[in-house]
Amino acid sequence: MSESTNLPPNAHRLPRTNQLEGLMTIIRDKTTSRGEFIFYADRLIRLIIESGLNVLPTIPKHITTETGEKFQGVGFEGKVCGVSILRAGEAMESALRECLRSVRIGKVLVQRNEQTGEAHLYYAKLPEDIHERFVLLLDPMLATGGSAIRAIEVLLSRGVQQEKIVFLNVLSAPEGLNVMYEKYPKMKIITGWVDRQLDQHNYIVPGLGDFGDRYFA
Amino acid sequence: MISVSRAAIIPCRSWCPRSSSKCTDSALSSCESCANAPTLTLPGFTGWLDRLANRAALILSISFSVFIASWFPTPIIMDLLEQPARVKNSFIKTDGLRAWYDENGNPVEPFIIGIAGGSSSGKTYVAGEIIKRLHNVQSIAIISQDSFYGERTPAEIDLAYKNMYDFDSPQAIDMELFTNVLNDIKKCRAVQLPNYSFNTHSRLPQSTYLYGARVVIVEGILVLTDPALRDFFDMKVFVQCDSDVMLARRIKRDVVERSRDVDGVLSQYLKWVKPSFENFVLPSSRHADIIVPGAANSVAVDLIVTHLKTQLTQRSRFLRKTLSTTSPRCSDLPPNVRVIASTPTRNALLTLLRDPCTPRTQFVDAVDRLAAMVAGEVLAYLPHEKCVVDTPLAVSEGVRMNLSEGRHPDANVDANVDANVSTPGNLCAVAIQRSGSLFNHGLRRIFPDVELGSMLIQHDTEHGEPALYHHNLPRAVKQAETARHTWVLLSDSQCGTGAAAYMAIRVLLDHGVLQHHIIFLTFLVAKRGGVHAIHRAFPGIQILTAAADPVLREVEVPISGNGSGKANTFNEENDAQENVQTHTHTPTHRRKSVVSLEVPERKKYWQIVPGMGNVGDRYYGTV
Repeated sequence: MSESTNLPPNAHRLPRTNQLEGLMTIIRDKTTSRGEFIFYADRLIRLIIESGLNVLPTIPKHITTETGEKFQGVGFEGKVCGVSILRAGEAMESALRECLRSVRIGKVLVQRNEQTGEAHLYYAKLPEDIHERFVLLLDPMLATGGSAIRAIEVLLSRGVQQEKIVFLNVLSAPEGLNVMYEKYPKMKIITGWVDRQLDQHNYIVPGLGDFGDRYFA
Repeated sequence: MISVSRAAIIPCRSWCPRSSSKCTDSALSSCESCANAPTLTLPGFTGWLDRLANRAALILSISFSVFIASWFPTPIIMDLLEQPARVKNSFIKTDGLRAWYDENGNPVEPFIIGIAGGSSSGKTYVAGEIIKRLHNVQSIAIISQDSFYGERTPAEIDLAYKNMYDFDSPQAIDMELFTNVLNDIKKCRAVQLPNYSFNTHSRLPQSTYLYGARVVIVEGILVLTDPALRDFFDMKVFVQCDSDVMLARRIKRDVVERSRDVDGVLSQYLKWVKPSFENFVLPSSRHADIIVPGAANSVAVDLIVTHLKTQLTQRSRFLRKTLSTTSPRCSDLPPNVRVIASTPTRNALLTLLRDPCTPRTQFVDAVDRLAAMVAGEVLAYLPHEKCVVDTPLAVSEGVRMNLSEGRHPDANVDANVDANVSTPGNLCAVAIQRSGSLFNHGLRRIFPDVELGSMLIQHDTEHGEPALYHHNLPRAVKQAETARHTWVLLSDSQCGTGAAAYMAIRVLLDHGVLQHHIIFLTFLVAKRGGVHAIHRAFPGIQILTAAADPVLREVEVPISGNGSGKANTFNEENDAQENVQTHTHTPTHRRKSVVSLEVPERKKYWQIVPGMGNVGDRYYGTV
């Protein structure tokens, strides 16, 4: 599977396994039915969410097991929230809920002005105490990074620290990752796969089409 | 809670004892002669014969009734005629199946008895008497030679309807199939027994699945005639009976059970049965180890049973101790065990599982998440191939799972696998009940349509030996042709001594699943525990675990009360007695789901340290 090899230092790609490659293959395939697309995309997103949670800080937890032995375990600090970039980002919310049942989730609606090509912020509803939390920013596709930048601007304006943002996506273009690193070098990015490039219409190729259209129809 | 007592009776197919057939409507003896008449007079007897004739839609000739009457002068001989209902291919199970394999994982042969004798000589009766006296045997199967009648050509079926076909010649039997099935049984493999219909004179499409019998009784007139067949028998029995008694019984049986007419039965007897008995059956008696009279044979049956018990004792195995103590001293895991990557998420989930104070809701979520994580890693073991797909915009390389054989390395080493023909592979999952089912949710996430099977394996409180109480395997595993192309994801929550996993693996291998097609999934293994024994016995098995703990230790705990009914109070008493902090789950709760009628005062079991307690109880809320 074609992919770009040089990643900016703040970006992490999921390790290539049969599972990841198999899932990517199914959701790329244009003959995959919508039901299957949803099922396999959900599984892929779950892997990305689990990896995203792995970068959050842990605290030691001392417990005594049933055998009476002391065991030094770990637990998460908590203080996390998700922020999805509408509409496609919503597809990643359920997987986050499965892992953190009571997680708070904010939503941001950013749309590109077709005339100017500029991303415009229409709506943002975020938890009040978001500045105290780690933020998992959810958007399945990272192409030019235009909408993500608008969303991150909103987060920063609400007092979220850059290093406490983890941007999770399914598929990225190298161009988008580079833009992100230039603007927000302290933010972490976790992506399922990095594709070859953007085409002249700024679509990721080979890509998987419009994620939101295929997921929500 | 699943309560299984040693005395639990789990019949697979009910076996009808001799007495129950006496006065049923279907048996000929249901006439008044059985219930009321102390003596049988000639008019009464002809009345009986009339009923017989009506059933057969035949008017009996007087000469025939006189002929019969001259053979049965007294009711004592009538008693000889009352045979038990003929039950073909029955399987009786009275207890969980104990280890049928040795410490190297090799199966220990079941005890096979061949019972031959003339038609209607009482072979089934002798088999039934043997079973009645074998109280302690966990599983016994009776296999009838009748099942192995070969496929007939249309011309032969025509002859059979006219009673012109020789069913009593060795040629009528599909000896090749018979030999293959017995060979598989000897090797403890699961088999599919054919079913033959005497109404249509053909083999039925459905076969009967048989697995796990420790005593197998093979009965039929010709079972001692074939040298290849004789080799399978650990004991050869010949039932000797007067030929006139055999004929009388035969008439009853064929007319009632097989809807034949009396003329046909008699002509068949003279034309085929009698010559066959003299040419094949009777001469085969010289191969018998013991000759049993067809009636009043309790002394002979006692002798058989005594010998059988000695043999079975020699063949029983106690392996739990061996499995758990033969591990090397080093703390390394064997090479077939892989622990999933240590990530903060995995570690946090394991902490929730290990902590007895984790609230149940959180505990259940953590189990499901960890199961999904482990299940996802399984794909690394399953063969994948490269492929090319069209995305909505361009062409992309990709991979997909392909379990088909043919491209598989098997083709090189196994002549039975044709390298050019690809056989579709199957994938299924089998959970060791109860706590192996904790993986079902995770497996369903990854393989939504995977067939889920189960095996109930419990440890007895006395020796801690595992026993297989029940198994419900996916179709692909039950059929020998598909089993060797089937990948099985076997799951259990923990693997301490590995005794249950060891048994479950043996079950899968006995069905023809290949070792390298079995992947065992678990949350926790003991580094010095049973994983070493499993690796030594079955080096091809892959084990995938979420964590590995350093120690496996044997502990002994007192037991008070008598199990099931008092389960709750019994726990509280023990908590106080052991002076363990409340709200934690103490080791005394372990394995209480196995309730024996005779509870020993103390019991031993092995625990993984630091461990995570009984995750099954906590997941299902049965603590």
